[in-house]
Parts: sequence; C-alpha cells; structure tokens
Amino acid sequence: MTMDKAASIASNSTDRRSFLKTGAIAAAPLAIAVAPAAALADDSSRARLTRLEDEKAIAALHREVVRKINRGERKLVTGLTALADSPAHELQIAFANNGLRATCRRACNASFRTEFTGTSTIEQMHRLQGQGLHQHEEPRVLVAEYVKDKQGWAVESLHLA
Amino acid sequence: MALQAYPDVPLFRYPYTDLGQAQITAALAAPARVGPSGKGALDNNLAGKVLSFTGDGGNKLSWTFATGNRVKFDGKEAGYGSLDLDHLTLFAHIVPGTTTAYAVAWDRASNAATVFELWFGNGPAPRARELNREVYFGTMAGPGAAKARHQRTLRVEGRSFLWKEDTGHRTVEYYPSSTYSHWVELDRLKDFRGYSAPTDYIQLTEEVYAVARIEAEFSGLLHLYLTDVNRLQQAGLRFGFNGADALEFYMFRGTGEWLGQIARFEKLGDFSADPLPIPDAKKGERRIYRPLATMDKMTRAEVDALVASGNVHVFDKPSPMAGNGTASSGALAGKQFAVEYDGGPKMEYRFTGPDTLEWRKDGQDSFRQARYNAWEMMPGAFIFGHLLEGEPNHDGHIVVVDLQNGMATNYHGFLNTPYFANEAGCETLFGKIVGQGIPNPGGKRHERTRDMLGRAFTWEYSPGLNSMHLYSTPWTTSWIIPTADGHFATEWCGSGDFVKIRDQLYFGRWQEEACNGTLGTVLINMRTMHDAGIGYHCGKQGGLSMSAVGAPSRHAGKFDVERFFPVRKGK
Repeated sequence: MTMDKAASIASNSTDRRSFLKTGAIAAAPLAIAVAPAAALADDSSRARLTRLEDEKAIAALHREVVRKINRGERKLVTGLTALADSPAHELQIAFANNGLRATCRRACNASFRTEFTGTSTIEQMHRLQGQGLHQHEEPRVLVAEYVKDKQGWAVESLHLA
Repeated sequence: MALQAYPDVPLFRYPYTDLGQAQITAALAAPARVGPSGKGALDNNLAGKVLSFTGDGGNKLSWTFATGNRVKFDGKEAGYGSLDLDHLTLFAHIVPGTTTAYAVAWDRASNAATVFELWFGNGPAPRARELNREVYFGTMAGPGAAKARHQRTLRVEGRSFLWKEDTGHRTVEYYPSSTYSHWVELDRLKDFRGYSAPTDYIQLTEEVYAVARIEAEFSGLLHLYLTDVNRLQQAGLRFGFNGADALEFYMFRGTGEWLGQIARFEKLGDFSADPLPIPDAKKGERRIYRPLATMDKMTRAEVDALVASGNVHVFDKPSPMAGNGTASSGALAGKQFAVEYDGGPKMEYRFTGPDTLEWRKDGQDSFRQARYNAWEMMPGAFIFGHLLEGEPNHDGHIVVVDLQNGMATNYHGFLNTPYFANEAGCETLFGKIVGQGIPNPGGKRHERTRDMLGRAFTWEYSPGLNSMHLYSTPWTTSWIIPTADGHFATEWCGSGDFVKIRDQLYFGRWQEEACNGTLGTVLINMRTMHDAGIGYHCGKQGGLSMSAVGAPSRHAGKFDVERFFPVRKGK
C-alpha cells in the first residue's frame, strides 16, 4: 500500500464533501475575534466558537508535534532529521462529523539523513567514493489524526505522505 | 594452474603471481637499456633535443636525447621509444636500476606536457606488480612555452571505440566513467568478457586525449595511449607484467572505430573532471575498488552453519536497492501452477498468500513453505523469488513467469561454487508453465536476447544510492557509481545474462564474482522505465538473503557493438 493510499484510508471518517467544507473553514485565519464567554453565545455561535477553539488547540498541538519530531522525541520515519512547515501552505484540518476527530494535513519540507552502512556492493562503492552519507530534502505532507476526549485533543497517529 | 600470459579463465579467477620488488627490478634491467619495442617502427626521433619539464607544482624533470634511441635522465642513460601523433609526441623509458619509468605526452606545438611517473612497489598499490602512476601537468621549456595546459577531462566520458593495434589486438573500449574504463579484449582473451579498471582521462587538445588504464586487481599492467578521437588514431604504451609474469614494454599504433556515445549526467556546463579527489592523498593514490579484498570469504561449513543458525532473511526488511521500487504484488495469491524447466527441475507451486507459497521440486513427497515476493511488471508477467530450504546449496529461484503465454525463465542461484562457498553461482533455466487457464507454449521458450547489448541504464535505487548498468557484452553486466554531482566514477562488472520476456520487457542478471558474491536480477520494463528485481546473497553479516531491487531508470543510450560478439548456444 502506498503512503498516499494509507493517508486516504486513514481519513475515511470524513467524507470528501465534509473535508472540503471544514477544510475551507480551517484554512481561514485562526485569529478571529470571538466572544470571551462561549456560554453567552447561542447554539449556532457556540458551535462555531467550539470549532474555532478546537482549531486553535489542534494548531498548537500540531506545532508541538513538529517540535517533538525535530527534537527527536518522536520518531516518524527512518532517517527523518527535521520537518519544516512549508510557508506556501497552511494547516488543513478536516473534522469528523461528530467533531471529536480531525485529520490534519500540513505540507512540509522533510530532511532525511541516510547512512549507507550495509554490506551490499553498491553501498560499499558509494562509501569508497566518500558518499556513505546522504542528506536530502523532500516535499512531503505530514498527516495527523487527532482525537478529542475529556482532556482535550491528542495525537492518534502520524505519518508522512 | 600453469601460468598464462592471457588466461583462459576470467581474470578475477586467475592467481596472478605476487611478484617481489627484486624480481621486478631484475626484469626491468634489460628493457631499461633497450627501450620499448614495437610491432611497427617507432619514431624515436628526439635525438639532439633536451626537454626540460616544469610541472604546475614546480617540479622539474629533464631528458636529454641522443642518437640511437638513447636518453639521459637523472644522470642515467636509458633506451627510449617515441611515437608521434600529429603534433603530439608520446615517449617512454625505464629509469635504469630502478623500478620507475616515465611516459610523457608532449605537444610540440604548444609545449604543454603531461608526465606519467610510473613505478612498481612501495605503494600505494597493494601489490608490487600493480603499476602506480602519478600524473604531472606542465610545460616543456622552449620557444612558445604555452599558457595552455593539459588537464583532466570528462569529455571522453560516455564514448566507446574499437581500437585495433598494429599488434593485431582489438579491444572494445568503453568510457562510461570519468575515473574508470571498461574494456573487452577480442583477441588475447578468449571469453569476450568485459573488465573494469581505474583510468585517467586527460585532454591534450580538442581532439586528442590521453587515456591511461591500470589493470588493477588483475595483472596490474598499464595500457596508456594518446587517442585522436577525430582521426580515430592512437599511439600508445603497454607496460607491466602479464599473467605469465613476462614484462610487456612496447609501444603501438592503432586505428579506431567510433561505437557510440551514451548520455552524461553532469549538470550542463559542468566540465569538472576530478570527481573523486582524496584529501592529502599519497603520491599516486586513487580511489580504487578492490572487491576481492573486502568480500566475505566463507567455507561451505561456515555457510551451512550460518543458515542453520537461522540467519536467513527473505524480503523481511527494507532494501536500500528498492527504496524507489514499486510495490510488490499479491496477485499470485491463490494461484497454483508448475514450472517445468527444460532438463529439469519441475517446480510445483501453491501460492498461499501474497508473500507465502508452497513449493515441491521434482515430485517430492511433500510441499515446503517459503516466503516470496512478486512484482507484476506487465499484465500477467511476474518476477518472484524464494529460497529452497533444505537444498544442499541453499538454492534460490528467481523466476519470471508470463501467465499470458505460459513461459518461464529462472535465474537459479546457488551457493558452494568452487571459488567461495558464499559466492552465488547462477544458471539460466527456461521452461513452461503448466496450470489451469495458462496457455501451453508447446516448444516455445523465452530466448536470450541481444536487445540489451551495448545499452546503458541508470538506476535510482534510493535517495543518494544510484548506479548505471552497462551491458557491455552478451555475457557481462557492468555497473558504474555516480558521484553526487553526476559524474559517473567507480566501476565494476561481472557475468551477465539477458532474456527477452516480451517486447520491451527484459530479464537480466549480474553476478558479483570475487566481489561480494551477490546474484542480482532485474526485470526491466522499457515502457515504464522501471525495473523490479531480486538480490540473492550470502555473507557473514547479512546472512543468506533475498531482497528487493527496484528503481526508476533512464536509458543512457546504446553502443553499436553487437558485431564483435559471437553467438553462443546453451545454458
């Protein structure tokens, strides 16, 4: 299974239509002025406020996830040394219908470091040429599944697509 | 084995004598006095000249030539030989009483010069018989001493020529690298096999280059020539000890035939030509691939013990040679068929899952389980591989089955060759598939092909792990490793075989003989420009393994060489 396929399956709790709809919402600026007390709002604005708060929480969690990956505290892919959010893209959040699960996609530049330490002929010959270590960057998408419980939002799964 | 100047076994199997320095010194004494010989008359026309060389590093050398091919160098008188190639002169001599010699390319028009200092013994080559060389660029003193300098070049990279010397010897020379070359001797060696060796490429003029190959890992001979690639002429020197330990010290002229040009992969505009410098290198030091020295060498008992210990790995971990490979296919799961190879064996298969099968050989009592991986490279055409647990030679079958026409080809790998027990041997088996719904091909089989002959393909296995294959003879696969900036550099080669499965679908292999011992196989789809293959290997660290090979490819081109190779029949 390709990673893209895996990502597609992983996000199956959200149909394409709701993904597009909520994705559009999530792409809006997060710093929207809201009433300080959700309790004062009516049902519609309460739901909107809750969504904005969720988006803010997820964005913060997502930044923390990236920090942990970059500090090496969370292993994502063999050889990955750093993730940097792509400035040309925004965090996309697609909420499940019940609002308790979200799929986040963030375009990023992934840095990899591979050491060719094996005994294969091709690795030996690369080492002979001084090419036993390879570092490169790839444009990838960090796909995160977040779930919400009583304690708030938490990471359920992460992968690089 | 009796000594043979040009062995009738592959050069990597020949036990070249480890000549001592004293032997070499003695062998050089008379030729130093006499100078190099030649089948044709040498020009030897430098009498009266004093050539004073100043290298770019300030080093100075001087030759004083007299009549009768006499030259005085460093206070010693020697015999020299020289050949002119238009306004370039190549002269060579041994320094009497030493194991040092010189070959010098001098441009009489510009006075630019390249000096090859050559010596036996005292390193950096690991054996005294392997000639060392240091190359100096500079000028000869005299009127018109030019600003122009000879220089290392990549301009020759990607070309191939047939050279026919006045000795009668013909050689197909491939230059797919800027630090190595690959050659096929058509006359002195009998098996039309290609070999690879470190090579210097130096541009002397727009048309004339110096090519200097040391047959490292084999005889250690130097084959050096000036080549006018426009007029297709060469003038050269052969110097060193052949397989019979006889000194060859002769100069030659030759004529060439252009055989083609494959792509180069340096960035456009990059003419840099020393892609593998060694920081603080010793004099004469190069990055030379010495595969026999680094290869695991195991006995049969060691191999058996390794397998018995369970150090066996069949597609159980990611392979660096398949980082860019295609996904394996589970489409064989549920199928049952037999492959009846001509002359045996008969292999019955039950594919019990996407990576598990049961096999039975020649109607044995029971089926055995094995792990396999398969790739479907064209609809209905699969490559799959598995080990035959319990076979005394720890066999592996790497099979291409074409379920649309009922034909199969097997690169049957096995251990316990007569050379190293952990080195993979291989035979090519052709057969037919017998199973429900599979057409009976009758007597038709896949056939060996020359469609691949002379072609070169790049393979991008994983980020930072790339190579190029050159199918240099019908029986040789060579591989060349690129640098990070696209110069192709270190090269090696082994036995190969090539079978046509369908139009644009080819099954090839290489054997890393006396070199890591791997059997590598690839099913090349020239429509998708991707391959899928399987490596079969046994080593102390990695155990007995089968692993995936897979990479997207670029077709670098095809040399026109088919006419040089005879047609052979049989396995």
